[in-house]
Amino acid sequence: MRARRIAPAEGRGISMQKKILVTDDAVFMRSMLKGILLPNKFTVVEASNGQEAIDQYNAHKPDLVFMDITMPVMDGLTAVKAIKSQHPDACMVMCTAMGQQNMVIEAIKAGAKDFIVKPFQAERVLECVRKFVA
Amino acid sequence: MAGTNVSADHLHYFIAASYAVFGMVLMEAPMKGEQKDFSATVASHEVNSVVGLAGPLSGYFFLSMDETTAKALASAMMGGMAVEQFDEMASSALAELTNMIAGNSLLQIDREGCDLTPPSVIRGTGIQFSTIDHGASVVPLQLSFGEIVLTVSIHAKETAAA
Repeated sequence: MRARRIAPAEGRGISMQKKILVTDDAVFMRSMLKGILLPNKFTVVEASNGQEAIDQYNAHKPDLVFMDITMPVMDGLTAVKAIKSQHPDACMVMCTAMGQQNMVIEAIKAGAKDFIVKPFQAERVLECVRKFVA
Repeated sequence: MAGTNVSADHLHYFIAASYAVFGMVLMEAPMKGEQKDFSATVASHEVNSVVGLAGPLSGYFFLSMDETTAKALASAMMGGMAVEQFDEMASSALAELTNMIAGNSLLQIDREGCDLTPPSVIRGTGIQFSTIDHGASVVPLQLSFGEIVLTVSIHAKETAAA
């Protein structure tokens, strides 16, 4: 069986010790994103639904938020709107399954900067981070 | 509302999506077995991951396998990390895999208004799924670490005549 290893991105100009909030109700998806971000020296904060994301945002003021769309308690679109209303400079990237284009468009209109599609490619995740967390 | 069983007609979308997702996530192309169609009831495996469809197309999509295969699949998705127990993390990995395949399938079906329910993982032996009058189409996919069975049970709502 071929295992995927995610190596730290070296020499790509990513600032050290930036804080990233990972929001997803699936523990596996949070773990996968952490597996990409932690080796690249980011601090990762987690939330498992939109309400927790708002609370974590207020508590930690992260540099970037990865936000899932479909979650219990509060969905990602509602959370994006709520965070944007309190923090207009918040930088958020939607994490979407294929087939959720309409929700992504809504989220971009609400202030999300970009989106990544599941299954995540490590390079695409890091490209987003490089783009928004310099 | 009257409708039609379209499981057999739509199975190929789910097979194509499985190839795409397995290729991206597991870096492996499965070998497809023989398609079988059932009228109402499908026997389960030890581990079954289910996503529901709602809207113009309604029904279910399952990934089913034995526990050894499920643990190997979860391990592969976690970069080769050992999975001794089929725990919350392994269950979450399998659920997300099912979600990705279902989402990818809907993209290819391209029928407006179709929605997916959050995935659920059902474990146990001797369980039978009744698909009521939807029928179901089933195909096994062979991967290096075991067999995964795809089950599609979909009903299409009839559109009003012009």
